[in-house]
Amino acid sequence: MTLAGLLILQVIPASRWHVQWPLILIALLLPLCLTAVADRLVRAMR
Amino acid sequence: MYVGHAAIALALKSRVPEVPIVPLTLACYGPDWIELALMIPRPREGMAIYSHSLPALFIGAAIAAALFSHVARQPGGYALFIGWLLHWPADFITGIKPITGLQTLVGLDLYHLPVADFAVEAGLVLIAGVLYARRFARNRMQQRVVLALGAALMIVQLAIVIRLARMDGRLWQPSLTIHN
Repeated sequence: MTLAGLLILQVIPASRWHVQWPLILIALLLPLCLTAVADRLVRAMR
Repeated sequence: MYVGHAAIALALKSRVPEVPIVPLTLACYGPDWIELALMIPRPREGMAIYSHSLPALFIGAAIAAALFSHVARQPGGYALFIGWLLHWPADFITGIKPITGLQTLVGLDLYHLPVADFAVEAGLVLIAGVLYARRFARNRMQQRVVLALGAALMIVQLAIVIRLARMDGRLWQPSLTIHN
């Protein structure tokens, strides 16, 4: 589990897994999107 | 580890520019994706064995590399294999991870030393950013984009570290023993 996932598990009550897992999913997508957008921009600026 | 995995993807990208960044980053977070997928729709204990143990890591890395090479038909599958494998040493630094089963958990557990955790992950982002910029960012605009990416990753990491440090009641418990 990532650090962001651990934070989500601590902030949201354990009984609300249906809220926790989409947030963990978003936390995994966030660095992916940041790197992908940055890489795209760098290539576009050649 | 969190943004450190993205940093590893950026560093790998600077070595193998022919591999797109999206599959590379997906591979670097591969075990975390597997762990989450195994816990949907219901959370289950002990899923780290199937995602983060060394056997699971090698199997996942091999499948990811094979899919990329044979299904996507693109060169550089070995980079995904390496990125997936590097997840374990990265997590070893910040967390406690299984070797083969849940009885053999090892790691430096820096998640519970917030300053050290941020230093390690921010350091990785800095090194990867420099490697990536040296390879791809030739003009000032490109360098600004890489700088913005590094800053964004560090800010996200810092925000999470600060928030977690305020709530975290567990003590730092590194484990280098075979039996936890």
